[in-house]
This record gives sequence, structure tokens and C-alpha cells, in this order.
Amino acid sequence: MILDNLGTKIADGTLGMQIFASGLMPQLTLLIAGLVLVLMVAFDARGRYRTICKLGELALVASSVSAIASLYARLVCDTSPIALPSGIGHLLAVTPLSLLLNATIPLLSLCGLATSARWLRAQGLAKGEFVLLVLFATLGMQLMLVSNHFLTLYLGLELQSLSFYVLAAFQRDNRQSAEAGLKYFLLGSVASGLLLFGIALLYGLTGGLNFAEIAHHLAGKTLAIPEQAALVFVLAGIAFKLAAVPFHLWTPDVYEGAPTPVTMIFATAGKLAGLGLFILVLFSPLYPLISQWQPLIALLAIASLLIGSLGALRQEKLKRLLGFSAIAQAGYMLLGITVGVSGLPALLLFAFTYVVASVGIFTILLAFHEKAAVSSAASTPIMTPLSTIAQLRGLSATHPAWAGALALFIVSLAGIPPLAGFWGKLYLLLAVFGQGYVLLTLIALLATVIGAFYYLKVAKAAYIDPADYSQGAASKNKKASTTATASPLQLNASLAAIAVTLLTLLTTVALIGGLIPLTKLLSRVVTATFPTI
Amino acid sequence: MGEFAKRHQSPWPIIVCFALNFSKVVALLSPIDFLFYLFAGFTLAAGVGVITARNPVYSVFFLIAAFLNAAALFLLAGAEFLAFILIIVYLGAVAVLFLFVVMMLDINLATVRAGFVRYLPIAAVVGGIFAAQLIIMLLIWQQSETPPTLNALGNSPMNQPNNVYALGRVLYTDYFVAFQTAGIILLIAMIGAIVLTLRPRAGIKTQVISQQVSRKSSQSVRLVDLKLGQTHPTTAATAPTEPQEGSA
Repeated sequence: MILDNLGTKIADGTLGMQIFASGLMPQLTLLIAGLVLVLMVAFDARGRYRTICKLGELALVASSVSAIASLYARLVCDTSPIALPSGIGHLLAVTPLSLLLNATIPLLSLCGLATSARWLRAQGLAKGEFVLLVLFATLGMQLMLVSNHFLTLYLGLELQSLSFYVLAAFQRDNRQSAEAGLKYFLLGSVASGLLLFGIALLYGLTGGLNFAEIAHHLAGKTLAIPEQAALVFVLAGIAFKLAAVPFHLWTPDVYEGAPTPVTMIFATAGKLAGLGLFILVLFSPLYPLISQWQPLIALLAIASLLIGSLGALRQEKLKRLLGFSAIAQAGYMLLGITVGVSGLPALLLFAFTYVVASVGIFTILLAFHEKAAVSSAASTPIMTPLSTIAQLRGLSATHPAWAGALALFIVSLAGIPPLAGFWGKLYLLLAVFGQGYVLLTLIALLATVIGAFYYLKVAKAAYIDPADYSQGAASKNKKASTTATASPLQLNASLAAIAVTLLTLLTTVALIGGLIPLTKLLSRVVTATFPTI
Repeated sequence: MGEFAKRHQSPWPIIVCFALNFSKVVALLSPIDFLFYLFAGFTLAAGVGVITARNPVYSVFFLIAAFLNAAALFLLAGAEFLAFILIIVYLGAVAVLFLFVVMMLDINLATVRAGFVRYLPIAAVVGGIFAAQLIIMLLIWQQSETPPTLNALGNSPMNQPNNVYALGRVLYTDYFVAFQTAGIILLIAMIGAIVLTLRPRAGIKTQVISQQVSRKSSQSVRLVDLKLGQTHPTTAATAPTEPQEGSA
């Protein structure tokens, strides 16, 4: 046991080494930091948001760094993972893939936290609980991804979901936010119930909840209705988390209603975690059922691609558009899963380019506010966040650098050649095509064409459409009548937002050069994670 | 229940006998079986009471009675952990919560029963399905030769003193990661409830202990000379005033 001779192990440092080598350091870091911050928030309720936020960011960085270190030790130094004590190893298993995702997810949460501080303060939402919820949501995602047992998987998922529900409703005085929180909570609870029912069926069929046990039992069985029912229920539960059609209905409303930094975390960290959940469940305990789930996943993928793309066409609100785009991206991700293990490196590359571009777009959304037209009574001008595409008009004239960055991210998401998003999509579609799924490839191409239309609509608003001067003129009693503020948007970016935008921009561009080493790394991670498949 | 089931393949003869000759059957039963039928009967009666009582508060009390009797049944079956949980969770928390809601909301029974006839067909269908399932279960039910026991759980040794011990042992060793995660989920639920509901409000009277403690008799007590039958003009005006803030 890890706890034998605890005193001597702490003294000579072997305990620390054991914990580090176990690969559970990212989770432990977040757990300890979260609990300390709970006490800080409890005893010091007001006014210390900045400190708490900085500490939370530090914890996220530490968590990510320790995951990267473990991954490095695993892949480059080829240290074999130490066997976890039976009580833990039964429930958790650290794979290179989980380490990779666990290194990325805290960074995405970090981007959400870092860019949101000023926005939250402007909305009067700068409360320490926000940091706590983000930390625990990240912890939930990480726990879910290292689980080796349906019990821990479900608990991690619930930890993440519960934090997400509260975060969606965080702007509780805003009707839309409260509605988003309630909607997410109700639908999410139903999805959790479905998942739990599927897990219960699996338990009844196999007599175990450990992934290896379940895979072992399912491997030898002839598949009958109970197995298929269990598979369908589990798939429904996890498809909800990835926002795949037909379990997507919450996505546009929640994306629109939730506070923008929260939406950013949903769309990036939550998406990646959902993808990790899919890979974990389908390629570990349910892998023996691959012939059963492949057509189901292909159907989900086609439906998500078409409904996501078509739904996004008519959207005027930016966050709603990104919500539908998230559904379409879920479709691409499911395509990669359909292919099987050989498609996973391309899938991961695609997911990374998607989350990087999303982080950039949301950062820019957070950096701008619309100047309030009325509200002369208030001493500080009320800032309403950027919400519609029309508000972006004339951005290229007033803020050319930001408009340029936005256009780059949009173009990358749309998948237009030199940018990272294109390579992600190309690799993914090549992998799908290479396995002989011609129809799937064609549908994905169709969705890409439709996607290019609505993505470029955003870029067009920023670059080509003339600025709407009537809105700016409404607030002429302020100093708005000077020429530079013709666009109703005001830049309100913090240093962190600028830094994040620059970094994501760099990543988007640098991916073109670093493509080959990155794909090599990803395929190495995948082969190290699933050596037998 | 286990002992009873081993001796009788189906409970129906017993029930019929009950109807025929109560005293003879009671004499036939072992004490354990007698207790089982006692508590089961009380549970059933309380369950009927829950749905027939006119006053919702009585319904909740019937519900509490049903929970208590069900806990006793669990004890008879040797599942003392479930019995304790039933009493702690359902009696201690859920039933009391019901009672609070019922008393606070002042539910009008007439409105609750308004849709009774309208929904009766659907309710009858659902109830019929449940009843059919129960009857089918009862007809095909057979006692297993080797009933599974709680001791088969995990790696706990077979000679556990009781199932609280066995469950605790598994929960705190093999499943302690899951157990701790569940704890964090509860913490998040608490934080979430606080975030979403706690808001500073103006004009709330709260207890200020320092004010209460630092209060002196010279500030709060006034001695007035009064003759018999005479009312002091100022006292008569001020006597029934509310206590000053911070004096509660």
C-alpha cells in the first residue's frame, strides 16, 4: 500500500516520487488547491477576487505542468508506470492519452479564468466561487478521464456537470443565464440518468464495473438485446455531454444564455473532456461491441454534421452560432471515432485546432463590450457584452488588429487552407476516407462547405459590411461623436486577454510548421494508450 | 423474511390462512415470522393511510410510520445498514422536509384533487402495469438455493460481524477514491446553492452580539415613581414599544 511506513516515506521523499510517478499529481494539485481556496473564499468573502483568481490560475498551471511532466516521463524517458495500489488501481488508470488531455484541459480552463476577470468585474460577478467552480469542474473532467471504473467515471462526470450547471446560472440576475442553468441542469440530469441506467445494465450483464472486467465479459458473449440496450443508454448519456445530435437541444440555448467566459469553458475544456469520455468509454470497456457501436456513432456524426451546419446558417447571435458550430464539430469528432483507433491521432489533432481557434474567438468576444446607448443615470456606463454578428460591423476600421485575429480564427475554424484548422480537418477526412467511408467523407465535405458560409459571415461583418453609424450616434452626449468610436464596440481587454489572443494566434499559425512532429506525438500517445487494439 | 421464505414456497397459503383462522395461524408462526407480518401489515396500513388521509400533515405522519415499519422489516432481513439509512435519511431528512413544505405551502386539497377524474385512465393503466408486474413476479418467484449475501461484496472476509462493518470496510478501502469524489460533489452542491441563492439584502434585522453584550442597564432601564392607580404619561406612551434593535 502507498500508505505503509508513511513517516519514513515522507522523510526520504519516496512518497512524493510515488505520487508523481503514479500520474495522479494533476488531480491532487487541483484537489488541494480547490479545498484551500474554499476556505479562503469562506473566510474572506469580499474583495479578494484578484488573489483567489491568481491562486486558481496557478493551480491550473501546476496541474497542467505536472501532467506534461508525467507524459514526458512516460513517452520520452520510457519509465513504466508504477502499479497503483489495488484500492486506487481498481478505480483509476493513468494512460498517456489521459495525461495529454489532462495537460490540455487545465490550460483551457486557465484561458477562461484569465480572460474573464475584467468581464466578470464589469458584470458584478467577480466572486471567489467562480474560481472554485472552474477548479472543481476541471478536477471532475480530469478524474473522469483517468477513470478505470464506471463508478469513478460517473462521479467525475457528475462533478464536472454539477459545476457546469451552477456556472451556467452564475449570472443569476440575468433571466437568460438562469434559464440556461435550469435547462442545462434538467436535461443534463436526464442524460446522467440514462448513462446511469446503461451502467446499471452493464453491471447486471457482466457483474463488474471495472473497464477491464466489462471488456473481458463482453468479449466472449453473443450480443443480445440487453447488451444493445446498455450500449444505447451509455451512448445517449455521453453523447449529451459532447452535444451530438439528437442530444444537442440544450447547446444553443446554454451557449447563448451562460456568461461568456463560462461558454468559453464549455466550448473548449468541456468539449475536449466530452471527446475524451467518448474515447475512454468506447475504446476501453465497450470495445468488444465495436461492430455494434460503429454504425450508431456514424449516424450520430451525420446527424450532428448536418443539423449543426444547417442550424448555424440563420443565426444572428454570435454565441448561438458558436453553439451550432459546436454541434457540427461534435459531428466531425464522432467521424474520427467511427474510424476506430487508427483515426484517433487525426481526431485529436482536429480537436486541438478546434479548441485553440475557439479560445481565440471567445477571448475576442470577451474583449469587447457594446457601449450602452442610454442609462445616463448610472455613474459608470453599463457595458453589455458583444452578442450579435451585426455588432461586429466596422471592426476592421476601428480595431484592425483584433479584427485580423478574429478573421484568422474564424478562417481556421472554417478550415481554409494555410491555417491549422484546415490541416486538422484534412487529416481527419483523409483518415475517414482511408477506411473506405466514402459517404461519410462526402457528407463531411458538404458540412464543411456549409460551415465555411456561416463562419465567413462573421468575418464579412467585421471586414466588408459598413459600420452602422446610427447606433453610435445615439450616445452622442458622451464623447462618442469623435470619429474613432463610430463602431458601437469598445475594447475592454485585459492584459491576459491580449496575451491569450497572441498565444492562440501563434499556435494557429505555428501549427502549420509543427504539424508533423505534433501528429507523430499524437499517434505515439494513441499507440501507447491502446497497445493491444 | 429469509427464514420464512425457506419454509414456504409461496406466501399465498399463509395469506389465505390468515383470512380463515387468524389465531391458529399466529400460533403456527415463529416469532420472526410473526414480527414480519406485524410490521408488513403496519407498513401496508400506513401506506393506505398516506393516500387516503384528508389532511396532508396526517399523510406525512403516515409516511413516517411506513418508513419506520419498513426499517423494522430491513432489520428482520438482517440488513441493518439499510434500516439505519432509511431512518436517518428518510425519517430524519426527507419526511421532515415534506412536513416543512406541507406546513409552509398550505396546500389546498381541493385543487390537488381537481384533476383526479381526468387523469384516472392514465393512472389506471400505469397502476395496472405495475400491478401486473408484481403479480407476475409473485407467480414465478422462487427462492434461490444459495441466497447471495452481502459478504460476497469485494474482498471482505466471510465472517463479518455485520454488514455495516462490511460496507464500511469496502467503502473506506477499495472505494475510497469514489467515496471522496462523492464528498466533493456534495461540497460543490453546497457551494452552488450558496452562489445561486445567497444575496446581501438591505434592511434585514440581524442579531449583533457585541451590541447586546455592551448594553448597560443605565441605557435600557428607567426607574419611574408611580403612585397607586396612576399612570405615568410618558410610560403609557412608550411602554408597549417594540424592543430596540439589538436588544433581542
